[in-house]
Amino acid sequence: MSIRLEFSLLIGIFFFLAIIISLLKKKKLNLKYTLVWLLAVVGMLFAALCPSLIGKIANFIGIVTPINFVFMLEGVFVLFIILSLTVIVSHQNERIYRLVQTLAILEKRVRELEKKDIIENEESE
Amino acid sequence: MKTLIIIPAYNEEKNIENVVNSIMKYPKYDYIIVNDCSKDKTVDICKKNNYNYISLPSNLGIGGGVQAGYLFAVERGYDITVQFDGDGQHNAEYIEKMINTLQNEQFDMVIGSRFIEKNGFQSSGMRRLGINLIRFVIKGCCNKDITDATSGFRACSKRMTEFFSTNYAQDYPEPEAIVSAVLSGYNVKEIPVVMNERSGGISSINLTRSIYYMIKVSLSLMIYRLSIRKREEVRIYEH
Repeated sequence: MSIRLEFSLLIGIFFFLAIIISLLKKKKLNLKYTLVWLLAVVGMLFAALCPSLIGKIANFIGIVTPINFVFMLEGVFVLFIILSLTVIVSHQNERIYRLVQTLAILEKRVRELEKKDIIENEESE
Repeated sequence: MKTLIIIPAYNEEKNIENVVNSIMKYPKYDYIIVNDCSKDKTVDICKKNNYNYISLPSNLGIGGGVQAGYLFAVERGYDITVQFDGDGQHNAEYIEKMINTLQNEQFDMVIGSRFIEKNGFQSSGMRRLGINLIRFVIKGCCNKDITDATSGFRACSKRMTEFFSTNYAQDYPEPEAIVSAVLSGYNVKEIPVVMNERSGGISSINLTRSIYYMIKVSLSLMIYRLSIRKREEVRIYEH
C-alpha cells in the first residue's frame, strides 16, 4: 500500500471520528449506542496502519486478494450494526409497552379520583 | 374472592354493549374493558354508558392490551382474572364454571375450549386445521394436549395473573401464553364451552394472515421451548 493511500485513509477515518464525536457532543447519539461505531474506527485505523497484517489474515482464511477481505469485514460489520439496532428496537418496544399500559391505568385512576372529588364537593356544599 | 373480567376491545363499537350487558348479569364479578386505541366509537360508548374501562393511548395489539388488564388486576389486588373477548364470541354463563374449576381443582389457568364437546360455533375448516397444527406443536413443546390454543377465553389464578403481568407474549399471545405457563410449572386445564359466531365487525384474522400466523406461532413456540428450559421456575412466587 502506498503512503498516499495510507494517508488518504487516515484522513477519512479522522473525519468519521470527528462526525461521531460532534454527534456525541450535540447529544444526538447516546454513548452506549456509539461504542460499536468507535470500535469500527479502531478496526479501520488498524487496517490502515498495518495493511500487511490484513494481507496475512486474508491469506490465512483463504482469501486471495486482501481487498476482498476488507469488503467482507465491512459486510460483517454492517450485519453486526443492524443486529444490534434490532436488539435496541426490541428493548425499546418492551419499554414503550409498559409505558403505555401504566399510562392507561393511571388515566383510569385520575378519572376515578376526579369523580370522587366532584361527589365530595357536592356533599360539602 | 375478588374476580376481574378483562375485556380486550379493538374497534368493537357494534359488540361491546352486548358483551358488557351479558357480564353485568353477574354482578359479583368486576369487569374492565381495555380499549386498545380503537379507531371507532368504542371509547365513546364506554364513556356514555359509564363502563369501567382503561384506554391505551397507542395501539399495542391483543397481547399488550390483555397484559394491561393483568397489570390493573395486580394493582387492585384481584384474586382471579378472566379474559373475555370483546367481540361477543364468548358466553358469560361459562365464567362461573371456569372459576369453580380453577378454585376447586387448584389450577392456575383454565381455558374454555370449543373443541372438546364440539358444540356451537366451530370456526372454518381452514382455521381448525391451523388450530390443530398449533395443538401438535404445543404437544411437542411441552407435552400438553390443548385442543383450542387460540381461545381467548381463560381464567387465571392470582399467581398466574402476576406472572402474566410481567411476562406476556405480545404478537400472537394465546398459544405462547400456554407454553410459557406450562413450561414455568403452572397447572393448565381445558374445559368445554360453547362459543358464538362473531355478532358484528370483522375478525382480525384472514386467510393469508392465517398462514403467516401459523408459521410465526409455530416458530415462536419452538424458540420459546429452546429458551426457557424451566429456568423460569425460580421466578414463581411462593404464596
